[in-house]
Amino acid sequence: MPVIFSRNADSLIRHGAAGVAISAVLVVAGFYYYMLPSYTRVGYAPDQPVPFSHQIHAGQLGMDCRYCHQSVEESPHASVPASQVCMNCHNPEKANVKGKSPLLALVQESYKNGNPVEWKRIHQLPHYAYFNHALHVKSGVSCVSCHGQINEMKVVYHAKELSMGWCLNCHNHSHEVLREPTDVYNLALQMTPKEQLEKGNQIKDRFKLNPPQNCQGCHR
Amino acid sequence: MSQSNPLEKPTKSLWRSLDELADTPEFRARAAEEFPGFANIYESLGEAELKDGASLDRRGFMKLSAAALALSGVLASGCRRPDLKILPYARKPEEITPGLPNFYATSIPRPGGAFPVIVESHEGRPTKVEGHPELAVSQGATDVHAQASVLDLYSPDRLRYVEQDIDGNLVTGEMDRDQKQVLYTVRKVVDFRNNKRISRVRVEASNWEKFDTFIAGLAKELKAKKEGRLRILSGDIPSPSLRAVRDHLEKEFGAVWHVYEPLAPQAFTEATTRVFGQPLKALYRFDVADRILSLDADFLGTDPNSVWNQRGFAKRRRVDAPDDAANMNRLYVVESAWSITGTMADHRLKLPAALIVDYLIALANKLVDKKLAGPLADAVKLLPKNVQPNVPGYWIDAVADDLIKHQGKALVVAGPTQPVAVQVLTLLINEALGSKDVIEYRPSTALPGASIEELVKAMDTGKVDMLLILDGNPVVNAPADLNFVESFKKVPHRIYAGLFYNETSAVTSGDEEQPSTWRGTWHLPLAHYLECWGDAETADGTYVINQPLIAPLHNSRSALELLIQISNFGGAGNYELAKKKVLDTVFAGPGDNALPKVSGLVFDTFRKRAKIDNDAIPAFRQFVHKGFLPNSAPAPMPVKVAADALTKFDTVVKAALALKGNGIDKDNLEVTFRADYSLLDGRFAYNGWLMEWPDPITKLSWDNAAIISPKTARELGIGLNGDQVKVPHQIVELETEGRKIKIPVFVMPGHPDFSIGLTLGYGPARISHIPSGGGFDVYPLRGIRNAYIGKVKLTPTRETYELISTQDHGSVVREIDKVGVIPEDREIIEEHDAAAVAALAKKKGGKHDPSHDATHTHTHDKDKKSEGDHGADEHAGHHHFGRLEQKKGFQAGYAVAIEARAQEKRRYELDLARPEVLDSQFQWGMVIDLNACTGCSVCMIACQSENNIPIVGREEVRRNREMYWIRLDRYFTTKLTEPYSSDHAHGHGHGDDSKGHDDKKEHAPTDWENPRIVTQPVACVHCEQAPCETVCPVNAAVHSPEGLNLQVYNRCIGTRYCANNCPYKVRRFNWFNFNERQLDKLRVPTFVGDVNAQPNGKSDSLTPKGTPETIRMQKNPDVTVRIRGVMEKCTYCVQRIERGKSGAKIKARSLATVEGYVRPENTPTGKLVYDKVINEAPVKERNSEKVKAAARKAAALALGYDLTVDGKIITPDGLITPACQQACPSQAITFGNVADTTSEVYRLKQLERDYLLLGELNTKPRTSYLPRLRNLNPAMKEGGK
Repeated sequence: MPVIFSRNADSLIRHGAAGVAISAVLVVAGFYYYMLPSYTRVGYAPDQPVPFSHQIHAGQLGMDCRYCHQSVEESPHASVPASQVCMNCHNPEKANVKGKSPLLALVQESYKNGNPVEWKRIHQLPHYAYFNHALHVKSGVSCVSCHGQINEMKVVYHAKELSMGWCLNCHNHSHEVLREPTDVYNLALQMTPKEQLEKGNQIKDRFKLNPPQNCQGCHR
Repeated sequence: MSQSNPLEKPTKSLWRSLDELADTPEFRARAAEEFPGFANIYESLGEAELKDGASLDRRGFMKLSAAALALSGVLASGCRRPDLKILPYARKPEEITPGLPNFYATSIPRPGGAFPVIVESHEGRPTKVEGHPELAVSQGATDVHAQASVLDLYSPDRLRYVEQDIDGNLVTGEMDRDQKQVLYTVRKVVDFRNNKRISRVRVEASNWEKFDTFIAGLAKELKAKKEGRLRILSGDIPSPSLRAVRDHLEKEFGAVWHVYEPLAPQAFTEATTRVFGQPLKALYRFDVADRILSLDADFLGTDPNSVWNQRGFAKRRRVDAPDDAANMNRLYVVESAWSITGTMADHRLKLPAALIVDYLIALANKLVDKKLAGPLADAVKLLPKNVQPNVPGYWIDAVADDLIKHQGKALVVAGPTQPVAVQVLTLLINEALGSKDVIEYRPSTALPGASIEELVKAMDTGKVDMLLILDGNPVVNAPADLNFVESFKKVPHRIYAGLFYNETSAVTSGDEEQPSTWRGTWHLPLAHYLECWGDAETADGTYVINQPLIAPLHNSRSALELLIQISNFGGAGNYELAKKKVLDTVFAGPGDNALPKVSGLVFDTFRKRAKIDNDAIPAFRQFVHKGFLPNSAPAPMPVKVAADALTKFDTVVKAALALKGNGIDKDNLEVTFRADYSLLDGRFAYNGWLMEWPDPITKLSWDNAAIISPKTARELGIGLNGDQVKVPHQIVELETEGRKIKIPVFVMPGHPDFSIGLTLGYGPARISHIPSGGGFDVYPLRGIRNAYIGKVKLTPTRETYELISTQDHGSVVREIDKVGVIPEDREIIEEHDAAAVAALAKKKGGKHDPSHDATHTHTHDKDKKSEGDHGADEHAGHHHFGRLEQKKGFQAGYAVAIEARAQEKRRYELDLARPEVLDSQFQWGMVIDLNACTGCSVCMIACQSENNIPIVGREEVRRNREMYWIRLDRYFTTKLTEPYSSDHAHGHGHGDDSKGHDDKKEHAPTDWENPRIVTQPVACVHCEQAPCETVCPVNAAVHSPEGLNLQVYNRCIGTRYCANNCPYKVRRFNWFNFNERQLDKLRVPTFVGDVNAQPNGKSDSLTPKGTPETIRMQKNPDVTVRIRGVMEKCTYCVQRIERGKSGAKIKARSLATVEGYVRPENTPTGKLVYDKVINEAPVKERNSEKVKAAARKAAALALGYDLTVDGKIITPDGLITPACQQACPSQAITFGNVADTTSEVYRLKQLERDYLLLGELNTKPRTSYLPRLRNLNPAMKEGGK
């Protein structure tokens, strides 16, 4: 009887199968690591035209978020401040805080000629997702819940995933992040998990919160 | 006709087209296919390409698929999100909050009176027009032209540059509209009369500076000459400020101002001048009138005042309490072509336009016989006695009786198409019947001016040095026998200032054959009404502001600025000064709280109107804010028939009687001209929305046609092919006074015999980007003598043309084996005799309180419930759902269901489509009252502009691919249905109870050539048990807990199963990137054939991307712009729902104290409103719960939120309105929270008449309908003579 299979056929098949299995695992693992928002988005920290530091302004100086992001309490957009707002302090003819700093040249120029400063966009939702800032801050969701510890960021980076699963997770467990509406802009606030749960449930009950988990809530 | 013609004995009483009535195999085949000709692998291709021999074998297909895959692989690797930028304001305007729209009050100047509107603006881009809620002429609603006017602002066809004609070498090539700097342009000019290209024109892109120099010199010359060397031709512009400049021009320059409106109500003005001694305009109080007779008057449709008319009319059609049915108004319509008004008629008589005068004479005689006295009796004495109209006798007897019986509340309206004699008689009849309560006469607001005939005469005799044309298109729409172009050419300085490139602007720039004669001509871009300051008067004379929402997009100037500059009005001889002269605001220094200083012509006019001598600035600011000056409308004036009213009356009567010539028959055809529903006189021919918008009556899209009756078609041997409409449609040649046009015929049952109906405004020569935009220009037939009615010679040709009518598209499918065919036992349209409804209400006790109706149904349901269940068990398998069963199954929306839900609190186990309970406190629903709906179709455009719905072009409409989320189904009916009563055995409904047929009364007309029309708006009905959701393989069609049927665009992969399974046919598929491709090149080239091939064989290899930037500016940022391959449909305006809800939540939470909530009436603003309503109520009722509830609702509306006892947000009625409801002039659409028992929509759903479209399919639609009622006069024995 002629030999059809060589001696090592068995091991070849075994090794081959193992190889296929390993590469399949690698592909899947690779996909999960490299293709999901946790890799593609989190950590994105582009160079901005003006090296504005949230750490100094919101952290050290303790400025209120709403001083710059003025429409956050009424509009879906928090809005990036107009150059005019920067110039309230940095105008050499007025308060003149660091008025001569070359880092501010772009802002001053923009204020003079009316052209906008071209900031790089970091947090970007798909066009078919409609997020409402006002609704969230009024319900007791703090800035840090979505943007991370912004008061500690020298350069702003994408801290959270902002993917749909991530959003829904919070909509499902909103008591884990809710805080007193008066504490929404208190970025340094720390609560123990127990305190947080207690507070969260209290707020949820007070506002009769029932965060939408259907498409209509965010997609139009 | 052959013996086997099914039309000889039609079996249907409800049908959409003649083909359906005949039920031909071709119709069935077409109706069975949702998208004809596409159930093959060439999905995206049309029949046309396949015919061209295009082919694609399997191998070729695989090759391309593989290539596509490989390409996508390459692209997918190395994906990083592109860098995007955020561009904040450098200095933010104070009033703008990014992300929130602003609303400004302004007005649309148009002939017959300005239309006041509120315009929505997103970060400086006007996107949507709504009616001004505080003014009588709009009351928050709009007509279709107001809705569509925002698109004109962004039209790529607008004049963009100042252009001056130059002679010299011609350069070939076309103008590149997107190029920013055009040094010179060459435009093709087409001979629109003979449909051939006649010339290429070279115009130089000039600039305003050059024009300024030129005009300053010319003006000086003209001022010295006077004697009418300067002439101005404009439309009817209702601006008081403009009149001041006009007076100045006449005084200083001796200028002559000519006014020409193709559709001016000349005969009516002449008649009022005769009868009352001065030109008047009439506002009809349809909300008061009990009996209305319309003589070819389309007061609900093309009338400039249609919004006011519809609102008043609908008020008397709405049957809230059951016995309102007995108090409905009654409308008689005698008309020469189907109109919206005709579809609403209780009794309609088709009559050629020239015979209406005969009918009116007979009616006037009868009225005087029945003892109507006064000037009417004197007039009747002067009428010829031998007039015998060929109409059924009861149309004279019964109508006269009915009018006399309702003296003081009866109204006769004659349309602008009717001659002076008819208008005079109408005025006299109204006076005899007592017009005090039903007609408001006001001084005419029309801009007075010389006629266009006088202008032509002056130009011919060389008396005109300069002619300034302010907008309009006289080269096309001036009476054809004037030969305007030839005279126009004789003027040395022709200046055209307009919005669009059109025939007049083309002729202004000359033609290549005689370049030397064309020196010194200019065309100037005119500002859109959203770009300039001005003022205006509405139809009732209210003084309104016209304020800009955006800086001029194309460096254009307004008419007012131009005129001030030319005339050196108030010393403002150059543009900068002129601009300030219109309106100038000087702000005080920073930190200064003083009001800005305002000056200028508009401000001066305002001061005069408001009668404020000094310090008018606060009042003016209020005026700009509110958009109007309160109480500035003149009071209606009492009228008295002048003593000399009947001088030469016999001459005008003779002229009117002469219109019919030797009678109207096969050899003496009549032609009538009327305003087109979409284009009016052609002024909207550059508006893609309106071009595509199907005509409410014929449902023709992109085209017009000559409308004839089936009998005319048979007798002349045209248009009909045996028993069905010829497709493609036959073209005929029409000739009158030696002028000819060619136009396809369209057969409409119910059109008068031997009369040919033409609508104005179309034409193949439009210099326009609009895809295959066209139609047929009928102006060449229209002369001075036959402006509205004339005689015509018809010659059939062998040419054909395919008209696109959407009447059979996407129709409601009731039974699978009868696809697209409406069964006889219909329940799609319910159309009852109002008397039967009233009788039924009386039988049931005739309670007046509408809420009783609800409880009545409710208790009745309870009684029936066990019975119904029992029945269902017994006859399982062949039991049809009765109406009550249909409604019981709802999780929300009907009282029964809510109660059941509260008790059971369980899942609906057998409800496969809806495994979850709809548990939100908001349950959205809609009721559409077919009795109020006139079918005017403004909702379609409102929806289009709100929801970023693209136009698709003529070719795509032909393939059933129009994208409208809401459509108006127009049905012909010949029989009334019997009103529903729950007193009958359960399960009685039309179609499921054979007993119902026995006592069905036959209501004429049964004659299929004289049908009624009922229109029905159909958008997604948001089924609780939606067939679309079960078939979606990717779960893109899902339900929200609020009862909305949602379409998730980013999940959708375009299988189109959902559209296939939708019985209402309301889902729309994006076959192409309609929102991204160039508007005139929507069809993409494919590997099997280049669909963009030009006639010269040249073709573009790739369809150019890129909608003009301006068109994108119109898009609503709150709504996703959909791409190719995605299904979409009505969302109940979910963006407005969410805006309303989140606004309410934000406000309520802002006000929430730590421990509790603040009710609206306890907030400072809310308290003011609350107290106001309480104080306005009668003293006795101030403490009643009803008044308190009303006050609380008002406070909640003012604040934008309301709270229930347990702190939940509730949205009061009126806080959230979908675009269709907001625009609806007759308020036929009611939307709201059906789970809120105090809401209007809940109340309407409890009415017994409320019915579900295809309810027996058990889809549980959230949109329900109220039937159309006809208030028949028993004395009108129709059907027999």
